[in-house]
Amino acid sequence: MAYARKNVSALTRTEKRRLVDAFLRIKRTGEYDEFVRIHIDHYVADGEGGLRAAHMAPSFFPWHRRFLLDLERALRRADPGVSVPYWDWTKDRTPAAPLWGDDLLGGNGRRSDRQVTTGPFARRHGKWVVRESTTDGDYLMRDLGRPRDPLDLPTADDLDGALRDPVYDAEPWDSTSDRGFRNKLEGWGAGRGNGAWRNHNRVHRWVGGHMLGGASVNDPVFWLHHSFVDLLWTRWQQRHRGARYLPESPPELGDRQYRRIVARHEAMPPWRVTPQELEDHSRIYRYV
Amino acid sequence: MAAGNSTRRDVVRGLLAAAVAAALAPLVTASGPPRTSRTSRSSQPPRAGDGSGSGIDGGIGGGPGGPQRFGTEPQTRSAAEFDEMYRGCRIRGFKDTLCGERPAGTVRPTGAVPPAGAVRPAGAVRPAGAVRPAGAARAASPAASGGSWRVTVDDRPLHLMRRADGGYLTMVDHYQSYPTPLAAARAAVDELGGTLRLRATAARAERGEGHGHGVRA
Ligand SMILES: [Cu+2]
Repeated sequence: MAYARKNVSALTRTEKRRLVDAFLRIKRTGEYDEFVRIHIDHYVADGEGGLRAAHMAPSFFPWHRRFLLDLERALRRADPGVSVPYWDWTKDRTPAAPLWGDDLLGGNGRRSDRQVTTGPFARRHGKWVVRESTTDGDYLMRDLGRPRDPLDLPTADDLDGALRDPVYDAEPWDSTSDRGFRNKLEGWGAGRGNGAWRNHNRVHRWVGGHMLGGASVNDPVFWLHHSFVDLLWTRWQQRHRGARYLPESPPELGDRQYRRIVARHEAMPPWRVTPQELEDHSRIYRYV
Repeated sequence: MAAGNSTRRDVVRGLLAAAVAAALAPLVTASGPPRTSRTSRSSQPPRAGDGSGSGIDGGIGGGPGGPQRFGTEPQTRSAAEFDEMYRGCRIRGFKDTLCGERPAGTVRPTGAVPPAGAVRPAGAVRPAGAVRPAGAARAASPAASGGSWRVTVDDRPLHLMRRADGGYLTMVDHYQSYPTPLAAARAAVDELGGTLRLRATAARAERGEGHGHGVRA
């Protein structure tokens, strides 16, 4: 029986408390930090060699789908009644949105050092100590909206621009692909300045602090963001019936992407699962 | 649920063991002039269906990664560099290009790829990702073939990665690229905001772009 992933704004007080408790529990056991490391370890940029599975690649969606499922399983071992809610950032667009409340994720970082000081993940409670990071602070950081050079979250129109594309992904299958739903939603734009941030990437920038860097998983909002990104893949499939993950077969010897991306029937590291096997989640969970 | 704790731990243990080994690699070249040696390995996506545990809700254990290719790239030293104070931080960088070929084995301790038995129960299979630590052993890229940049902020290594459009990304600012290493370093300082420092850890980060992320505590 499939379980439900809900809009975070629709969670009851009890659901929020149980979700927070499950996060704190797997943080305490060390399981959570393993997820932080796995995400760091699979960040391969497309100007480097080697296989890219998680970012700047067609498997961006299935990789994060499976990553979320693993996290969700860990949470559900702690409390079988929880699931990862999604944050619809086209609607909940301000630091006043319920997800940033003291009963869920806590609010913005303070001005001096961007340290999150409110809510259950504040450093002073001692239950959310950052261990895997690029900087030396051991506290969670946010910089919502980046006041010194403000930018807005992506809009419904921005999103629609990606969802409209009937092709899943296109050559050269990286951050420079200017066609295809995948890169339009992952959000690697051309040029500089705020215009270069699109959709998924822009949300990482908007939250700022840890979410901006390689250690983004330290912020639990990572999962709520990617739950929505996952939902958008499903929405795209519903809008373009029959459209499938691409590429269907691996690039051949001589192609610049040879052995650097995961085709539909190839296994994604660190799992054995293929993109094809992840195209349909309806047996496991559904979005409500 | 199929993904047991032990399986996940095995994966991570593999990652950690590989990371420890990767951290040792610079020792080989630590003395003398800054000669960075690059070791290349690409892991090929294994074909599906050659084992168990597949599927959306399958276990996370995977089969052995594809064939591992080791290689080196031509190395020469060039003069490109910068050294400046920016918002109170000293940013330094130079392009490290080195001469001569080195067999991969001389820069990579044999322990770098953990023997299967050492990190997981016999019979367990090694997921492809577990043998490829944080880019510590990534294939040399076309973009990086002119040499790699080593950048520090207040003497702490700032890991740079290349983007296909020729830009540079850092671990602090992971979702945008910058046209030059200097621009990327300044953006990282902006992000550090005057209150934070990069982590001093990881010798592996000192090896410059294309290597480990250097974020382990
Ligand atoms: Cu993301």
